Amino acid sequence: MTEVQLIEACKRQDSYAQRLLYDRYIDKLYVLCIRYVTDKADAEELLSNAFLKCFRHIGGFSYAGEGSLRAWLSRILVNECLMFLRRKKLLTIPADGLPEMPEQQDAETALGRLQTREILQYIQELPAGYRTVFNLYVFEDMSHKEIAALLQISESTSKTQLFKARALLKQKIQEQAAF
Amino acid sequence: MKDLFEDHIKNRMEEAAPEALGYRPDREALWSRIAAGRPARRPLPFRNWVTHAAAIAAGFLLALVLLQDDPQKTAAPERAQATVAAQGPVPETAAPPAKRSPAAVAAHRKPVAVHRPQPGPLQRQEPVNEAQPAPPEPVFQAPQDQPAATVAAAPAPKQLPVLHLNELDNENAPRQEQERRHAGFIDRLAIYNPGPGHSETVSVLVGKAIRNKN
Repeated sequence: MTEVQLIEACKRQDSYAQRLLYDRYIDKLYVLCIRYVTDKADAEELLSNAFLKCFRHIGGFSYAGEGSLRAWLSRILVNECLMFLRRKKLLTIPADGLPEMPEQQDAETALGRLQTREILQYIQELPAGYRTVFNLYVFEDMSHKEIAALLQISESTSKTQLFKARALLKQKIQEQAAF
Repeated sequence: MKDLFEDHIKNRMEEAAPEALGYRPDREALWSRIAAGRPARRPLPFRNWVTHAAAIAAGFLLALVLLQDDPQKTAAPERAQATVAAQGPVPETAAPPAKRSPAAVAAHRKPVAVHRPQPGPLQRQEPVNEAQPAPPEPVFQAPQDQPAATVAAAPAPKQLPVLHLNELDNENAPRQEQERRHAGFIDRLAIYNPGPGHSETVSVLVGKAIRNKN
């Protein structure tokens, strides 16, 4: 079944198509979710909410080429994650200046020696504010302007959070690689 | 702008499955939770179903009535027979008129005046007795030296037939045609009255009753 046929069937609330859509995207959305929310139970609850929203509102979705469905699903899930972090009061982002941090020159080479689960672990260990801005910038391809509008912060704050997140991540990876 | 470090992280993470990241999601349990809360496909509501069925039935009945109520096929022969039988012998004055000049035809044409009825109780016009022969037409001799247009405008009508606005059901459809169509529907309930030489229908009987009452 092509993506267009899948969408049309889901618009008719066809349960077989809904299950097919779930099987096709659950893994990618699961990985996305655990980058924002570290707890497994919370992540699964957010995933189920996101899929329910998708099935309810897929009638308003207009197909715009390959990958547009995945992008739409990802946006729903990211919004769910951000709302969850706000409810838990984890999304507090202080507006401070750039810190003095040493440049990590050989972080890229150290990254190659790490397993993917270790990279995820370091991302999850970042403070929620840093982690959220890093995820939105790196994985969702958002600009600082879009991040600022979404999180209701200034653009400079978004840049600062990203700089700190990047520096912390490189530091951890280099430490691990040296160990 | 993303650097090489971030691109490398993105590529590694997007290709990874949950199991490779140390997670073992229970996909069936998660689907059961979603399936329990998802909107089910609803059948057509009963109220809508009844409305649609009633509309279809009404349309069918209307079509049935209209198809059977064809005035060309049903009403015309019966009406013609009834009116001819009721009128009896045709008077001599009803003979077809001889050919007339255009000036005479213009003089014979009666103008129709349309009056708005005055407020008050409505009064119905007396029905015209069709059996009574029409009065003899005045013979008008046009002078030879005058143009035809002047001659046509000269005679004043004695009494104009009055047509009230409240009697106009539809100005586009002639009144006789409407009456004939209604009579066609009623005539289907014809009462056969084997009188001396003529049969009567419901519409003829009702018309006679109204005339007798007036």
